[in-house]
This record gives sequence, C-alpha cells and structure tokens, in this order.
Amino acid sequence: MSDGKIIEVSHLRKHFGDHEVLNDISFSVSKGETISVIGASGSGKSTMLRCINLLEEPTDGEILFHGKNILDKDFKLSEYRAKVGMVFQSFNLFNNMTALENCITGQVSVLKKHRKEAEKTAMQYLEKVGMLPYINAKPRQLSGGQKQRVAIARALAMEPEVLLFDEPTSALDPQMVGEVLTVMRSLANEGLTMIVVTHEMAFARDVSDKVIYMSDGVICEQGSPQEIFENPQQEQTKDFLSRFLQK
Amino acid sequence: MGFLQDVITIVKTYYPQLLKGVGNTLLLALTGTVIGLAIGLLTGIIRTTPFSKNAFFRTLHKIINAVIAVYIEVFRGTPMMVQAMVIYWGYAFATGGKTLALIPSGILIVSINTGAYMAEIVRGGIISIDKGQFEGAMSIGMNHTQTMFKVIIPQVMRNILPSVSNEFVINIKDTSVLNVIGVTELYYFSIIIQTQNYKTFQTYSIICVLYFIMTFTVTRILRFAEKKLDGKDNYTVFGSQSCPEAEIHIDRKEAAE
Amino acid sequence: MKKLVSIVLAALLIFSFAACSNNGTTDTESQNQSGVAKIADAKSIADLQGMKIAAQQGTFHEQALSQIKDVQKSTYPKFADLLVALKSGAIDGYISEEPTALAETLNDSTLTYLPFENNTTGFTAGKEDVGIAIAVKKGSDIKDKIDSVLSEIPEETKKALMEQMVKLANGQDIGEIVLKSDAPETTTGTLKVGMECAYKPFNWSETSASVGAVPISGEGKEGLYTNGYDVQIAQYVANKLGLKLEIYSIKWESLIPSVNSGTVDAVVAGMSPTAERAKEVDFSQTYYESNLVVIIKK
Repeated sequence: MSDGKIIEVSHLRKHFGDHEVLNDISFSVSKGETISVIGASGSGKSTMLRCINLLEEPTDGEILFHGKNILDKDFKLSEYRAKVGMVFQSFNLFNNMTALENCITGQVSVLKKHRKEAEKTAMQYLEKVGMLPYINAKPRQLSGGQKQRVAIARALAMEPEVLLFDEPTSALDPQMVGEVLTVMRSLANEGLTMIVVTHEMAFARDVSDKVIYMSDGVICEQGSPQEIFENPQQEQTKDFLSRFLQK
Repeated sequence: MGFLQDVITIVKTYYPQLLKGVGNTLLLALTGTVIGLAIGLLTGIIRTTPFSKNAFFRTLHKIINAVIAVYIEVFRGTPMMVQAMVIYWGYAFATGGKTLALIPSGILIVSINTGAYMAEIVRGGIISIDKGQFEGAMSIGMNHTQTMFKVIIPQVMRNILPSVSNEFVINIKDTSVLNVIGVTELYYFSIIIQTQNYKTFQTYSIICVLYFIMTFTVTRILRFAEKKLDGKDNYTVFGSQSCPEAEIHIDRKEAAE
Repeated sequence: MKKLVSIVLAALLIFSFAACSNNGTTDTESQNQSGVAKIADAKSIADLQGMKIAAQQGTFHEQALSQIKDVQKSTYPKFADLLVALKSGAIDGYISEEPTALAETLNDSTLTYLPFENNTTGFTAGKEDVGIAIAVKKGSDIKDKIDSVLSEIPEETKKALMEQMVKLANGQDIGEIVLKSDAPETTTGTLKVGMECAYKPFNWSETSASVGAVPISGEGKEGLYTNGYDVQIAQYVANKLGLKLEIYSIKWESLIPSVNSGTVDAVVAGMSPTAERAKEVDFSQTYYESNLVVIIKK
C-alpha cells in the first residue's frame, strides 16, 4: 500500500489498432495534489486521462486506486467513477436537464441519495462556481464558460476524491477562460486532488504541485513546476516551453 | 346546390356511424402509435446496448438482435393490409374457426407495423445523440440503463417527435385498410353508406374531410408539444429587474446545514 | 412569378381535363358506327360490337365479357366501381345479373339495362355460372339438410321474393315477405352465415332495420343490419333447421376462407357454384338463377 497515494499508474500502454498512443506511462497522484499534464496536441494527454476514468480501455499496464487495480474484472467500475470525477473539453452537460438537475441526477441514481439532500449539495456547489442564478437554465441557454462551471459543479456534487480535467478551457472564448480557471484555482487551494490536462501554462506553473510533460505518447519529464518551467532537463521540453512561452 | 344538400343529408342520416368510425380510427391510430413507439424504444435500446463481456449474454443479445432485424424487415417490407389478412385468417385456420376480436387485432396489427418503423426511427435517434452525453453520464458513474432512461431517451424522444407525429398521421390514414377484416373504422362505414345511397362522390368527400380534420388536428397538437418541450432560446436570470416574479428564495439556513 | 406559374399550371390542368373528356366522346362516336347506332338499341350481345363494356374482375361476368365479339373490354376489381365508371363515361355498359340491374335501375333513373336472356339473345351460361348456391365446408353434413330445405321453395316464390327484395333495396314498401317461415320455439344451435352485406339486392347493409332485416353479428357491428334475397333464404333455412341465425359481414375474397376455417358454417352470398370454387367448398343446389344483362345509361 502506498502512503497517501490515491492513484498509481504504472506501465500504461494504449493502442488504437496498430497506432500506439500511450507507451509505458507511470506516475502517481497523492491526496491533495494538483497535477498538470502539458504537451502538444496529439501527444496522448487526453487519452491518458480517459484511460484513468476507463472511458478508454488500456491495452496494458496497471492503474491502482487506493492500491486496487481498476482493470480487475470484479472491480466496481460505477463506484470508482463516482469517486473519480471528470470535466470535459466539450462540457457534456445533459441537454435535457436544467443546471440543477444536471448536478442532482448522479447523486440520486448513483449515490442513492435522497432528492432533498442531493438538491442541497447541488445548490452548494452551484453557488461555489457562481452559477446559482442559473439553476433552472437548460444547457443550450448558457454560454460556454457557464456550461463548464455547471459541469464542474456536477462533478463536485458527486464529492469525488479525484477530479480529472480534460482541457477544460480549450473550447472557450478567451474572455470565458478566466471564469473557469478562477474556479479551478480555488478548488486547488481547497486541497482537492486534481489531474488537469491543459494548455494554460500559467495555470500549470502557478497552481499545480506537479507538472507532467508528455510527447508522442510517453512522459518526457515530470517534476515540480519550478523544475519543469525554470530548469527543464529534456531538449523536447525546452523546445515546447520556449514555443509556448513566446506566444 | 344538389351536392351540398346531399352532403348535409348524408351527415344527418349517418352521423352515428361517422362518429363511431372517427372514434375507432382515432383509437386504432393512437394506441397503435403509442404501442408502436414502445416497441420502437425497446428494440432501439436493445440494439444500441453494447455487447456484454459475458459470453452467454453476448450470444443471447446477438440472437435477440437477429430476431429484431427479421421483425423489422418483414413488417416494414409487407403491406399492412396483407398482414391483416394473414394474421386474422391465419388465426382462424389455426384455431378451427375462432376469430380474433376485431379492434384488439386491429390495434395489434397497427402496433407491430408501426413498431417496425419506430425501431429504425428510435435507433437513428439514439445514434444521433452526441457521444459526449454518454461519456458525461459514465463519468459520474451512471450505468448504461440509468444513462439511457435519464439522459438519452428523453433527448431521443424530443428529436424523434416529428417522425412520431408523421407515423401517427400515416396510421390515421392507413387504418382504413383494416376494413378488409371488417374492423369498423371510418372507411368501413364509408363503404356501407356508399352502397346504401349510391352517392359515391358525396360520401367520400365527407370521409375525406373527416380524415383531414383528424390528421390536421394531430399535427397541430404535436407541433405545439414540440414547441413546449423546446422552451425559450434565452434564459431570464432569476431576480432580474425585467422579470421580478421569477425570483427564487433559497433558504440559506437550510442550504448551510 | 408564383402567380404566373400557378395560372399556367391551372390552365394546363383544365386543358388536360378537357382533352381527356374529348377523347372519351370521340372514341364512342367512332366506335358506334361499326355496331348499332346507340347501345340502347342492342337486341342481342352481338349488337354490342365496338362498345366499351366492363365486368367485375374474377367473376363469371369477366368470362361472359369475352363472348362478345369486337368489344372494348375492361374489368374493375369492385362491383361498385363499375357504376362509377359508367356514370363517368369511362365505359358504355357493364355486365350484371338481372336482379342487381333491376335494383340499380330502380334506384337511379338515368340508368336502364339491356334485358338479354341467357342462352338465346344473351350470354351462354350454365347453372354453375349464373345460378347461386350456398357454400359449406367440404364434407360437411349440413349440405344435405340445406338442400332438402331449398328444394321445398317453389320457383314462383323465388321470383316473387327477388322482386320484393329489389323493391326493398330501393326503399319501397313491400308489405309482408313472401317467403314465410316461423322462428323455431327452441333452437338447437346457431347457423353462422357469411356474406358481403354489400351486394344489392342479394345482401346489403343498412343502419336501420327494414322488414325482415337481420342484425349483423360481430364486434363493433351494433346498429348495423343486413337484408336481401340471401338474408331471407338464410333466415328460412335456419328456421327450418331449428337453428339461430347469425350473419357475419365478410369481404368477398375472404368468404371461402371463412367457411373453410370454420369461422362461419355457410356462405350465402349470391355466389355461383363455379368449378374452381367447387374444388374448395361444397355447394348446395342453386337457390336462384338469373339472366346476365348489361346496365347502360339511358
């Protein structure tokens, strides 16, 4: 068993047919840590994140959650997913439900909470992301930033141990990126365990405890933000960062 | 104005039959469409469910899928009138002269026929739902059944409503073929009236208008339902000055508990 | 622009209608020169040359149609269609049994018929063609019982009954029905009879009962009655056999299946005992024989 480690990924591999997307990925996440995963598009960051939530099935390797392999046949996937939340690039809010319903339905159907209780929790998190005035709005009545904040509230309402963010700001207009990042920053400060796949270098540098740089399906380099951003060891990391920071 | 007078006379003389015909036609079309939709939803859900990892369930699922495929092809590929004859007289021969009750067998025939079309409509509706909706549901731990009933099906229902309304209209008109087995729908009575009074044109003109009133009313009602389901395009923030009555009151104490 | 298009379309429509109707008349006129001047003057079927004559599909009438030389033949699936076709001018006349012709001409004063007599001026036809008989399931023992009842009815009564039914079909008062029988005190069972209930004057449907009418049995048929020559014969047979009569309205094409499957015990539907049908069902002796005539416009 690991000391405070919630998720341990070891030797993870993923193929799509002949195409190798992930190769020998190993890292671990401790309680309260915020990990940023950076890298060029197509480097396998999102696939890795989706493997952790088993939206993609890994070809090989191990993913341990509190020391138990989630790839085991008798592993209770539904419970696991309720404990590991996910926020998507394209929000994926339920289009047929209001903001409030979006945050309630999982609690009621998966966590078997009473509706009243679920509603209270939902309201609490919607308030946290500043979406209280919009609880009765349908997704199509909301802007991108507002949708993403509701999506974060939906994930939080399940009171997960870990929250995965899959490029949460990539589909947003620049003026909406800020409102979402503010929410994420406050979550990190409160000690929520998060894995964030992002192109927001400032966020990765300022907020995370650990930064992972991926390239061509492998982890090129990982370390503290200072190590990665101020003193990168690998040529590829230097290249990537110099290109990004120039912008 | 001989035509108008004829029409008035026919309506006055035969209004009980005409009303009964309209009633039965609506009964057949409505129940047939609703049951057909239920069949469509069931088969649609079964066919879009991913195969189980368990070999037994996977095989069973494949067999059921094959049965559904045959059902759809057969009932979509043959005329309803012919199905009515086969089922009604097939039953009579098989049971040595017993006959099926007419209205229930009419409903049965319309339902399984509509179901075959609905199966494809629903399947199309499910496939067209964004994959993100499934992933969103999976990411909070909902299983396939929960995802289907809470998230996917409500959206599918909205999306297929125009097609369902189309099927309903088709059913109102196509139940007329059930006169071959003697179901007393509107067209059945039109034949009786016409053979009594020999006023073919006048009688069928009335029948024509009655069918149109039924179909037009149904399309209007369902269009209205579509609009209701969609709601507004924009959202009024609660407590906004333009819409003060929309304000909500959250019990802070209760929320904080 | 839209207006212009719609005017042009409307004009085209009217023009095409006019063209169609013109074709109709010129054809008739030119064809009439080869036969008699007017169809109403025809004394025998030989005089019908060149006319447009129609018959109901799948009946003996269709075969009879081919006995007329040099005639423009057409067939229609339903008997009622023939009347519509005649009225619309699509045909000059159509073949019918005399009772039907009587009924239709009584009902519609613009119609008359050519009273051909079978095997002399008219069509060559045997009993199995123009006679009508009751159909029962093959090997059924009810056939002999029906035959013995039918043989009791004198020919004159049949003729008189037919005349009454033609009048009744036309809504005329007929007083008492000539074919009398008393309902049995106690019935020993039911006689289920199938007929179209849509073939005047043999059997028709009505929404209020005329003299001697029988309610139609079956689901949803409340308030519907049937009457006609077949109904009276069926009632007579049932009474004589001590059975309760139930009449079911069944489409023509389903009549033989209905007796074969046992849904009904007998078909009394103005049906001729043709050789083809006799392969499927047993027929009683004929209970009416009618001349084949041609219904035309006056």
